[in-house]
Amino acid sequence: MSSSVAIVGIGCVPFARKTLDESVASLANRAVAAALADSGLKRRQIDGLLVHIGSPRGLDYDEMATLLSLRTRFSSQTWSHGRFCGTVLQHAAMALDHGLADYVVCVATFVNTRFGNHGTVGFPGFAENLREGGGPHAETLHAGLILPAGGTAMALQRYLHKYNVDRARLAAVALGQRRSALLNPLAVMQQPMTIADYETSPEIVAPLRRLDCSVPVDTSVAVILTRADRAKDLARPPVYLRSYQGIAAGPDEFVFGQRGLGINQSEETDYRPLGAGEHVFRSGGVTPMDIDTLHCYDGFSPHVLWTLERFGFAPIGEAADWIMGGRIELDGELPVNTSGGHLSEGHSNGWGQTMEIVHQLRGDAGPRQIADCRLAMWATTFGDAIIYDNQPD
Amino acid sequence: MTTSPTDLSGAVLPVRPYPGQAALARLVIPPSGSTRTYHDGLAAGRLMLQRCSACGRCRVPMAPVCPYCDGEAADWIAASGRGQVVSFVRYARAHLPEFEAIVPYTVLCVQLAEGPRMFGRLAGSDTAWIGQGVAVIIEQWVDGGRAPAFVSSGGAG
Ligand SMILES: [Zn+2]
Repeated sequence: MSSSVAIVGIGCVPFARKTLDESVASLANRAVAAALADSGLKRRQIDGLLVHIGSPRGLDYDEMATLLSLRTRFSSQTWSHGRFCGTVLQHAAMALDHGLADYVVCVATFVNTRFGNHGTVGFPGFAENLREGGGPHAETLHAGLILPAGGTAMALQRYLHKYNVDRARLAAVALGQRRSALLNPLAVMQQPMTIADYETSPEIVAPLRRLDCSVPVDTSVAVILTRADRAKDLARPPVYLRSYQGIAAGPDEFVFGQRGLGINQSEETDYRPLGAGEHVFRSGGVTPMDIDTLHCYDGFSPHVLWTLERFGFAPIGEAADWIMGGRIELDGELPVNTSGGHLSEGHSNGWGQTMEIVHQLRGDAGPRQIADCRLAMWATTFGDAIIYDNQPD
Repeated sequence: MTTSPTDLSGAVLPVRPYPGQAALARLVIPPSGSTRTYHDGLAAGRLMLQRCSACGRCRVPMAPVCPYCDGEAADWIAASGRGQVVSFVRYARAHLPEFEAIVPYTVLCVQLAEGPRMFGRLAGSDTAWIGQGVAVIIEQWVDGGRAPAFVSSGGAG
């Protein structure tokens, strides 16, 4: 297996729960400038731009390029939802592989605090609740099924029943990620969490508690990628994309729930995840056992369980037992979301996790550093994944 | 998509006022094309389901292609109104003003007797459980808009 593309620079602005007195373009530029400095590249060398979330929470690719004085020959942008971090990085890799650009910067700048909460009338995406077929998280307004939490809570209730899962064990996800966040200066949640805090946390949409939910933040992250041959000559150790796979979609998928639960139109099935048979493992020539650290999309804490099961780390229906005993904490067998993740670092739509992967594979994660960390994985409940490697082959 | 003429025979469901004293208009997609059959059905007191002409299975949501056999031809039937709870969630607070008068409230994922699953609010009760039998009702909102909801049918479904 030979990796053709690598991350060579990262930069960010500290995550914020309060609105910063600064334009979106300025926030984006601070992250891009930091990533350029990290990589040793000059602004004029960037010839590819991928924007994750555009206006009005962020900036669209055209104004992003214009206002940041980027001159690109490959430019694109994804839908304004958090699920596309892996997709954006994969599009960068494919563009580089095909020579559409030599240095691509991915920019994830968005200011949630300037708008109403997700799911409320003031939120820019409110009209999406009336998509044909349902909202982006199964919102069904006439039924009162609203907020991104609604669909996940619906899936969680069924999951607890179907697999006879002990609800109390879910606490380990939020508690474990908070412990890691306390070692991460970028994390917005810096107060310790106790089991009592978790158990008395209000049920926002039962069975989900507030402490099962990610923390909205304003985010500005930039990640620069180039081909492996160019990566070797830059300032920092390259972090190679060893293999990847895209988001799954269609009638069998329920975006924020496990497959096979029978929520919405997805069929109730005896779901058997592919696990090590997933494309990302086969094409990378590795198995779940080889992964040193897993980073996943944790909009809500059950997503961690479902990702562990979908990608074969834990048996189906057993992830809540599997994570007991600190197994996914920093000194555990498979450290997960060691930055604190969306639950405690802040909901960066996967970009905080991407920076954490780079730190872990460069060996500069400080007090969170995992010993002998070579293979790190990004994966989501909805099926996309990237395996990162700090060696080219 | 081929659609047969609307047949509005079949179960007539109870119509009740939505207890939240709110308008429905901004919470639903306006009718267009073949979805008018669904809206005409609600106006006539029926929950209309799209049924694949090839494999005979009903589907929710309305779609131009059957998710089970990829067939594109469909007709419509009136649902019996019987169903069983697959999952449920409970909202402690209202996140839209339309629901302020009714919090806390419960939303169900129900498997209808005809097969498809559908989300709807549990009306007239606080207690939901997986496996519970429920019946479809049609709620009329203050602007005259109608939407399906559920009531407990008092036992296992
Ligand atoms: Zn069919």
